[in-house]
Amino acid sequence: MARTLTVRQLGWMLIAAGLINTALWLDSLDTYLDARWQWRLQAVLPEVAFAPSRQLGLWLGRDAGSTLEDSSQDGPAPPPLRLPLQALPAGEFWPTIAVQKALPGPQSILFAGDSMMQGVAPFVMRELRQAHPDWQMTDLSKQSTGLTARRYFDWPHTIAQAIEAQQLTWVVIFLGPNDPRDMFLPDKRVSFATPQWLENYAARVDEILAHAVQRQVRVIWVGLPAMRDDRLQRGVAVLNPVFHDRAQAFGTDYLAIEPLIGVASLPFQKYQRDATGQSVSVRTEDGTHFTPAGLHKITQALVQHIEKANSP
Amino acid sequence: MSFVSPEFAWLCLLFFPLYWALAAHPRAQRALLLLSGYALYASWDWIFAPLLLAYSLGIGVLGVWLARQPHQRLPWCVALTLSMGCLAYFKYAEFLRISLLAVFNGLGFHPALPVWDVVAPVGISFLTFQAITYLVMVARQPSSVRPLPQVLLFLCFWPTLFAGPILRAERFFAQLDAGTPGRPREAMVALYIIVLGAAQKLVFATWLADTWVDPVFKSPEQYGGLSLLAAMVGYTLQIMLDFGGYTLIVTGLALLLGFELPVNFRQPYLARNLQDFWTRWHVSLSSFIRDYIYIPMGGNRLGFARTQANVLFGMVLSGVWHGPNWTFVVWGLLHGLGVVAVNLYKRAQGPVMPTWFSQTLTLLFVALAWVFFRAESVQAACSMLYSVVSNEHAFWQVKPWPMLMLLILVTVFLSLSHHACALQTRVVTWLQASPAWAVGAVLSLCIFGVVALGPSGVPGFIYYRF
Repeated sequence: MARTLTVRQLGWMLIAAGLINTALWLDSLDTYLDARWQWRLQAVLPEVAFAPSRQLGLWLGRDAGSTLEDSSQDGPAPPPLRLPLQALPAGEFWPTIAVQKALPGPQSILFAGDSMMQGVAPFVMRELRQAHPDWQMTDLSKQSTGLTARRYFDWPHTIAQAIEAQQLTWVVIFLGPNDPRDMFLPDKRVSFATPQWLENYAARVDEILAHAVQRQVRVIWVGLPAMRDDRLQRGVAVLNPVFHDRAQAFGTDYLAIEPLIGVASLPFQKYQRDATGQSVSVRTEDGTHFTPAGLHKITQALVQHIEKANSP
Repeated sequence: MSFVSPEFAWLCLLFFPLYWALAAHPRAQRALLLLSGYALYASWDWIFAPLLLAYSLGIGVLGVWLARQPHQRLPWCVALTLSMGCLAYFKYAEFLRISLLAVFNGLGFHPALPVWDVVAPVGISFLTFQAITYLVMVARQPSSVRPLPQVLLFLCFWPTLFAGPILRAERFFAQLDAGTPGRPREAMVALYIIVLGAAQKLVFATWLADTWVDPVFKSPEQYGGLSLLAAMVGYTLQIMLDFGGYTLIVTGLALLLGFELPVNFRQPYLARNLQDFWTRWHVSLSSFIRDYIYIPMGGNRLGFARTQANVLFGMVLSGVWHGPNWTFVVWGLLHGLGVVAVNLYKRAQGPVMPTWFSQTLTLLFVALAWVFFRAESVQAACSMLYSVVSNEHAFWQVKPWPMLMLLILVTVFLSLSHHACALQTRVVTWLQASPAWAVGAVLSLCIFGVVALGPSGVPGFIYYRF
């Protein structure tokens, strides 16, 4: 111990350092807690408490964490989401939609999504690059992201920016496990899977699709497979119909990987049979992500889907 | 819950003052430590907590059995089988199944081997080795057997629970018996190494991962030879800063709890040969393998050839310990062969190399082996190494600013490695001489800086996988 520092002093010093940094980073912590635990400090602390951290955010050139509102769509109004969503009987899944054809010439593909896409994208890019060395491919996938916690990461905005900057011809989106949770709108908290939540979530999907469709960018939305975690499994039953419905509404593609990885209307299974009839593990231990064998299956499905759209 | 998450930091602000306040009541304090260990373990997945409890109770009972029948082989065999069996079941069963299937398929058979759909508890490799140290301690000295609550406390001691360092039972119980725990030890050292570890992990290791390692290892075919080399150097530094940073943080936390952890790193990238490297890198693991596997197998007492076989076995085991993947086997084998090569060179009485040359040679070998450790498969690692020399992209095609930053980081890191101990002594001396408000101000400023330069979100530690 220091000559002058008692245990009591040490305790108070730690608490003081913790409180000072909490105050200085309050806005960032609020964003973090929202994304991680769905807690909003804004709901319990006065606005003035956030002033230092917001000012600091401005000085450091960071986003001060202002609550983003969904931007209006600039394309034609799509058919609204059909509510209530249809529940699927056991063993069934939302089928693949493959209606788009690629524009002629080299393609420019953006891969967007969460950690699931982080696993898949490198393999798809490698396969496509071997077949088409002149194609451009960009992987922007980022773990822990989704469409619900827009304040933490704004996919509609990021994808719109990428479309403008890179003259994309395809966007492939694979996300969802971070989304089955309540949504914080500027004025209220909307519970997961309620009609209002679905409308808002579908509006964010629409924002991506409308921007892409208006700029003639093809979109493949990869559906979610079964999940080990009960909460996520219930989430898949809510999210896949939204992805499928909106793809149908905008005339974009939906790729169902459930038959390859695990049908979400059935109990989770880590293993699938391969061509020789052997059980092969396709999921990692967390029951969300994929083993190399699982990634291989998704890669093949996605590459085939793109190649088919690219064929005359 | 990660040790670098805001939630953990806030809980510490509540926990430590309460823990220290109970210093006059050791039973209550140990109960709090025990509960906090189980709560932290359950924060990953609640099912892990009852598993840990059952495992710890099992180890405790086996310890009692071993102590009562010290000269019988049966208790020892059962203890070893059960403790290692859990590790094998949770971690290696699927690897074994796939490997056996590959062998059978190669022979033209297609048997339906059963599958094990289990989730390995976090840190099970560390936990198992710590449990073995307890069982060996009791087997060697039956009077050292501990009551169940102490065994539970040892096996759920949270600073070492998730990713080591491997804390030996003798060391833990000696501190418990001495009555030293309960109050912070060397508080200024603890604060210094916690902040240093957080900076290593959150600022530097994360930058290396985001800028060089992850993108290049993910899609090596997109990069030229120099970028691939930069990623290899980047990973060499990243894993040191990541695991070293983690070790510093938990060592500091343990000091605040009043416990001293074993040293896990001694500036490994200054090693003069691979033997030297393994006395500096992940020391708690390498010394465990030395004391509990290599020496019981005969060590260097059975002739030169047998010694080299033992070295190879120990190093491959060290690789396999990291996980069920052939990449780790190859990594361990490479290090084993490297150590054997060093032994052969010494036996042949080769000329003594200049220090700078032997250090560089060792570091290059270690960096090369890390490619196998990091890659998804042996094939991917070989492909990456081959791409350095044969690549469709221009060799020199590289992003200049990240490259410059990497060179600066490597230079500063290696330069500071020589002076790390002296630097720590100077900073700690200054902190100890300073008034509490000044220490608090510096601490606040350092935390602020680490958060400002750190990533958004909470990055995972590499060794949490093991």
